[in-house]
Amino acid sequence: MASHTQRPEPQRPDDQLSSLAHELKTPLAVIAGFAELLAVRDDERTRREATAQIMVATERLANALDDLLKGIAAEQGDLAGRLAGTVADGRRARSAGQAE
Amino acid sequence: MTPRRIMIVDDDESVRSLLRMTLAEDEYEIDEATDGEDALRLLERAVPDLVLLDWKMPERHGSLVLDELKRRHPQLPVIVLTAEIAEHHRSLAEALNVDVFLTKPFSPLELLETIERLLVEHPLDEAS
Repeated sequence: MASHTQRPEPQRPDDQLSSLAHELKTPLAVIAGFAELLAVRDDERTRREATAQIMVATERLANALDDLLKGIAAEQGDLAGRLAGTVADGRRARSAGQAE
Repeated sequence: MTPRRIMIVDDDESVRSLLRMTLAEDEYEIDEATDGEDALRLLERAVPDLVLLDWKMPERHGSLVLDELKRRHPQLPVIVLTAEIAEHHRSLAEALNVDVFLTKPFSPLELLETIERLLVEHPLDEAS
């Protein structure tokens, strides 16, 4: 009997590449862009907004890289590589260390 | 000097923030749209002097928004900002008469120069 459960459509390679480019390059653009603004502007508003947005974008980029690395590791069947020291884990550990 | 009106169309708040901060408050009036529908609604109220348009957006893709913008206002300058790497996206945007197609990451200062150049080429009241 056919299942009526809705399953998400698998992404075509072109769509996957497009999503990956978007996930990686958008936060990179935010980090690089605000860094450039910080280099030429010295007002409090720019400093505050740039700092907040760079931190959010860095976290987002780290998570996107983790997903990418886990995907590659899964494709290679490398369980150890998939679970060991991810970028975001490293960032979280460093943040926790700084907070102490 | 009359501030020029720029419309930012992007579903990503962080990119909108970067573009907002790039444009000096006293020189530009900024309209923000979070998707294509929103952009076309804003366009009904006031035609901007220039549009900064994201390409990959949910619901209505940037190419559809560009097509509609140029159909309604052929002289309105539109800069597309995208993370896409495939060349066919640029070809499509060019076929739809995009003025500038920029890939991320982009330099905000170079973007500002590009905006100023396009605004000089399209003086006030000629965009529509």
